[in-house]
Amino acid sequence: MKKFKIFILILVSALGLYGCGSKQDINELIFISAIGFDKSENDGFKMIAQIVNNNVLVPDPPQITPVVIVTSEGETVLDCLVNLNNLLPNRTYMINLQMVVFSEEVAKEGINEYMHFFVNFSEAQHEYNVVITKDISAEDLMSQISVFSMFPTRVLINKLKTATDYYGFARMTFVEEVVNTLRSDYGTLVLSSITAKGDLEKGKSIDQTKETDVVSKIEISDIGVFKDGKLKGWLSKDESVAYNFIHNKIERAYMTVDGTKGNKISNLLRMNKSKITVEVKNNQPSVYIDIKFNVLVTEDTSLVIEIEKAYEEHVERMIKEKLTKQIEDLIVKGKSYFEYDIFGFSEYFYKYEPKWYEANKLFYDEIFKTMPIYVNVIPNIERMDV
Amino acid sequence: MNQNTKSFVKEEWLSEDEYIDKILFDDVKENIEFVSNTLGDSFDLVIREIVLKNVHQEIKLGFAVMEGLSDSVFVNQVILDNLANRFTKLDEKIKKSNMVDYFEKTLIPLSNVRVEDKYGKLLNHLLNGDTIIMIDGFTCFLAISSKGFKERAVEEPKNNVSVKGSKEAFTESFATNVSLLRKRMKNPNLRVKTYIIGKKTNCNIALVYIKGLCDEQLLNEVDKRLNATEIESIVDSSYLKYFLKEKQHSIFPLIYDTERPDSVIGGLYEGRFAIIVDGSPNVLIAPVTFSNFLTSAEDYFSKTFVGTALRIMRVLAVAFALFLPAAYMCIVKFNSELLPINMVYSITGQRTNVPLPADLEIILTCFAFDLLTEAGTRMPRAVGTALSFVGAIVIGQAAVEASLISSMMLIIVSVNGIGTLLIPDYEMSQTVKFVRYFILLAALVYGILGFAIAVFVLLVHLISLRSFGKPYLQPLAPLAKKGLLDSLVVAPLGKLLKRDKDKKGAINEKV
Repeated sequence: MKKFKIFILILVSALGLYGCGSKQDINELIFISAIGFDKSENDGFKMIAQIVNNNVLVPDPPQITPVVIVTSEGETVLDCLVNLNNLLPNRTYMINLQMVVFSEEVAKEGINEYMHFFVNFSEAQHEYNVVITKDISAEDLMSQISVFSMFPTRVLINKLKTATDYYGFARMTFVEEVVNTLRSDYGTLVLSSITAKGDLEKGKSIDQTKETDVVSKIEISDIGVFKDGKLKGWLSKDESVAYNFIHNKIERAYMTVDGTKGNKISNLLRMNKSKITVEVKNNQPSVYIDIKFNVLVTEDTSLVIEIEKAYEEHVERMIKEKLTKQIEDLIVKGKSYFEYDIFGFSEYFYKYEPKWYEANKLFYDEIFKTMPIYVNVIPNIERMDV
Repeated sequence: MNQNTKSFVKEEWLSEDEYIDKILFDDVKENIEFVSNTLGDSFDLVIREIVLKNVHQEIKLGFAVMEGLSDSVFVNQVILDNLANRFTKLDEKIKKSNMVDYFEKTLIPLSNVRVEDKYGKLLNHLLNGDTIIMIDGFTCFLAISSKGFKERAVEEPKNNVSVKGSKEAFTESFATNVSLLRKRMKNPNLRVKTYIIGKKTNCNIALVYIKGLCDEQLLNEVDKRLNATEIESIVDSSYLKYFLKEKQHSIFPLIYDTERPDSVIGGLYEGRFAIIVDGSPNVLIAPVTFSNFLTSAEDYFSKTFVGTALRIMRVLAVAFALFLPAAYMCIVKFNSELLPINMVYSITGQRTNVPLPADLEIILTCFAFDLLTEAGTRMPRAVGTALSFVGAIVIGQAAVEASLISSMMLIIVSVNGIGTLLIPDYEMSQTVKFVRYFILLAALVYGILGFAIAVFVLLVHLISLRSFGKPYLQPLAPLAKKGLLDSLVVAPLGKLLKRDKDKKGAINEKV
């Protein structure tokens, strides 16, 4: 009984603590759905926050803008956030952040100093995408209102996911992967980019949602390749597909090849299994890339998909040749244009040939330029869909 | 007027100790006076002097019976008529030395006749509806069973409802209740040990068990506790719960009560004992574990898969009933990141125009729901329908439309309320209903941390509980392999019965 009394006493006195802690009703918070960074004209950081307008979340939402874009500047990222809070009625809450966008300019100068905040700030320690813009500023991209959903960030993420899962030319990179790659002295960071074309000013108004014509076209664009946190260049869509094939990141992809009668054959490539093996013989490193996948012939402009061995062999050979060429071209581009290991083979050397890598770490990029890389593509035709 | 008042005051109230062991007078008149005085000349007491005559002798008898408690046709036609007829036709004089014996064995050859000599017993028999016959010149009386009061027929169980299975429920009648058990278990090892408890109410109590299955030590303990019970009156079997329970203080019920004979039989087979209290349609079963309260008779009548699914559903219901409001509060007030973003937006949207803070909102809504359910239980049926309308319209529609509460909150509280109603045992359901407020309070003050601590304290408490020495969470903590067959899952009936075939009941499994 005494224990029970003490328990009750503790419980009652705990009532005095009511109101402490990070307690706040969910509807009194301001949700930042995306954060972007543009180059500041002053010597500092420029943060763009896309803020969800709580008034559109009610069951019968009024015709008002679903998101608000707020810009602030500061000496650090947190400084920007604090300045941002001055402009808003309630406390911002980062825990529901879904995307971080770096503009092309910022990416070229380096994203290292930005990322530190996202690692250490407790509200930002969860999973969200990191992307870059191409040809436009982060502010322009984030202020585009979508016809399809009230929340533009959701549309961007869905687009990115579709491009990654169904077409293979994009990459979803989460903050943890970005930070890990930036911190380690091996591996390579690549980020998908998003671009917008058309009338960007008109795209910022909700009036465009009343028109059938999409005024600003938002696209998933090339993949940006980084070195030491700085954007070094772009991979086109074909190159991106080849890049993802090398890294076993393809769920599905499409490829069109030439038929024997001047026709075109479209194929669905799926169930990809790629493997990278590295080898050091006589201090000579080499890389082997084995790519296996299934092929489903989905369209033939000659209107006939033949169920013949010769036809299958032809399709297989053409796909093999085309993809091998794409990958080899990409390797050549890496060696001659980027002049460093854009594929992150260094990670494999670090893991499987640590002694060699430790010894040659400093001249790795030089060695890479002459490193033999063997590509072996094995397509396997699934049953024909007639 | 003055005299009347005086006589009323004069009529002294006798304490139990004064008559309980008092031997009868040998004069019938004195006895009659004493009994009618003790009972305060009650209008339903029929007490008078009868004189039996034949050619050989004349005997004065005292006759007493309670009208209403006894079967008057039986008393007049069977007892008195026969007695008079037989006595008249006697062809010899009864010797004084074997007068009582002669009366008991020859003149009143009925099935249930007892000879006693104390006023305590006399009054007890009389108030049980028996017919009392006192013989002049002897300090003893004959008690002839003639109970005949109106009792409720055996009806369908109202609280422990099940679709399948027996439709009989216990009644208020002691004998009927025992017979309902006997009817189902024709086993000579079924023991029914009776006690009379309660100095004022003299209530009949039966301890029922199966010899060999029920632990001897346990029975000794129960016997000790029943004999030590110093209770003045017993109105319902629930009174006994208080006197039988362990020393531990707990809000959770440690004795199970049911109105279904088949549940009692099941319990007896598992090595438990049952206690039947005269006048109460609820029979107590102990020792019990937490999972017993989540068990419905139907679980065993259904297919294994269905039975198990129902059991799991009930466990989830308990989880919903206990934790849902607290978990929702943790999310809404402290850690909204635990939900997917779309859900967060949806909840935020619903809460945007609600003026009350979320904690006040949930406490008020829970309280309103409890008010409605409690009112629904106690209301006469005709008013109940009106009540459900009021509840549905006022809380369901008007409050949401007026933005007083959010619809998400209503969903949470409704699911929570339905969870409590899904628990088959009424007492456990009530307990869970109030325990959830503690957890909710902890969650409101300390967030997820408080929630976790509250759940932890609850678990520690449940694990520490004992029902007649058996751990409350038995099949799970401590782990009892055989018990697991009938806990979260219901094993196929064959396996369950095979388990119970062992000499010791399932509850006695060593762990």
